[in-house]
Amino acid sequence: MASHSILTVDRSKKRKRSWRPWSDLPEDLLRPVVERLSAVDRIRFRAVCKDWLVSPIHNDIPKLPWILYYCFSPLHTICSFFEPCRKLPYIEEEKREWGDERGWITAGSLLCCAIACASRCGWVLFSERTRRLIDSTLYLVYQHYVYHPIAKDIISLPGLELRQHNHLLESMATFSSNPTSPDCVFVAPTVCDWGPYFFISTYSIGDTKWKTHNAHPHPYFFTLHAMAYMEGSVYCYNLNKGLSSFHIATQEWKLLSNESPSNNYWEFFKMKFYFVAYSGHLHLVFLGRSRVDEVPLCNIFRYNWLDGAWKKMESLDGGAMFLGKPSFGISAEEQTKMVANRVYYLCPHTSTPKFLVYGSAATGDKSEFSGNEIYCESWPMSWSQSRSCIWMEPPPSFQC
Amino acid sequence: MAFTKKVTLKSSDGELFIIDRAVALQSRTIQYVLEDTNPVDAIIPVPAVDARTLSKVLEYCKKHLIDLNTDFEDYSKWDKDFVDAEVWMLYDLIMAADYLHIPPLIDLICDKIASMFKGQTPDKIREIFNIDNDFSKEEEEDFKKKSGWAFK
Repeated sequence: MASHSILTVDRSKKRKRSWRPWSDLPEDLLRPVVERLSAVDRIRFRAVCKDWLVSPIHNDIPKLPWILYYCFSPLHTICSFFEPCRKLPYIEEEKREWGDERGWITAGSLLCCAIACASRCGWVLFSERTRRLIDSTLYLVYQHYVYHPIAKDIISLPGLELRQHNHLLESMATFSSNPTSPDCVFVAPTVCDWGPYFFISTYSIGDTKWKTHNAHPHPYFFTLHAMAYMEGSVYCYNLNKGLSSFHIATQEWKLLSNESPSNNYWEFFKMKFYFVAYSGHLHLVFLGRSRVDEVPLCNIFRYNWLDGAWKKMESLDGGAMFLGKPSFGISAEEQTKMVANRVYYLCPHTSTPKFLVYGSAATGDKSEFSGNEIYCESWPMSWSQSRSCIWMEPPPSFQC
Repeated sequence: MAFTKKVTLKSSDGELFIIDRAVALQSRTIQYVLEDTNPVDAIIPVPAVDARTLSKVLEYCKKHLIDLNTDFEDYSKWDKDFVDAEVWMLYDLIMAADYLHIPPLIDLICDKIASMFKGQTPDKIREIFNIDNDFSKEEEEDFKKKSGWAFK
């Protein structure tokens, strides 16, 4: 007993001697530490103690979408996260060997043939097309997964079965909020090969199957070119036929505009286009093909809710856009100065993010250009061929 | 030039360190003191730093003064070993480096501290740095419910 008590005294003494008030570390010293943390570690950092949660140093760091590089194969899952302005990666890797007792069903084995369509709250929605014969009819079955690449959580949604000739525009599927929250809705648009039929399918966690809302024949669409979710509605855009909205709760369709942003349709024909919804606004972005060392042409139009017309934006007013699959936009805030008026895009050949500065002062080819492929260095060379690159919405930060 | 070659520093616990002036000048705080008062053979008190920490800081200053010509690799290895210390020592060192104003040492320690955060859960970080968990059960449950990924 005696020796035991001595030991305890010794330990508590040692603890006292070695204890330091880390949580009170002055802001000037905490800031350089936090600046050295990857985005993921920085979120965890806030959950350590109250002082670190509320520390004003977090206000310096803008909340931007992250770049996610991923490579999925049955035995190997690798994800690498970057913020657009910083080189610091956070890498998650999971490897399995044949005969691994954990089994070999990994995210990589489920997602290796799926494509990423949308991202919210740190989750990424993937869709995969498979074929299935049911009662001698061939169905296309779309399998959707939402994957949290940091937690490595995966939620598998029921298959969405479509008869022959109907096909899902799988890359346009999207969802409304955090998939673990009860109000999250998944939305997938479907078109028909042989007629002006257009459907919206929705799924809420807990349902046994998808609900298909028969909007056919929706008068305005033969096919759909882009879809975006914002505040309870999905917005559908067709380059020739215009813009319409579908309110998920009331299932009400509305034609918002049948105008094209420009009279000269061909002007934009050869350009890539992106449909970006943020801060209550809808945007069409036309981005020219980018050649090496050349800034692509960029035109951004914002939908005017009052007169139903697309108006060319002269500037991003300090906001920024992140074009790709999926695309994001942010409005100007105090912390977003470092990316103000930038349009980030993914270089098609190398999947590296580049940006141009959009605005009246420096439009189009006069823009500043970031030719540096700065995100490549921490990526193993062997993966550079098979990796995919998307923008993702970061998981929410801890709040007081 | 009437500068003395040697400078005497006095730690918070009264120990005296007689060092080359050039070594001491790496601390901007001491540099200002020397510039302002130019004390000849006087003792400069360093009230915020104890002897153990001060000797370690001076070890860093000496190394970085003498070895300016050694190649980069040697240097970074030495630095790495230097900060391979107990966490309480890192705390004392960073506070001392801040007080004495030695930016490269602050950077070095920040690198080390940041590397200790890498991939760790909040629980593990508290354990490493001996930090009390001052969140209520409710707050913590709320965190875990909203962002469970951060805790595993």
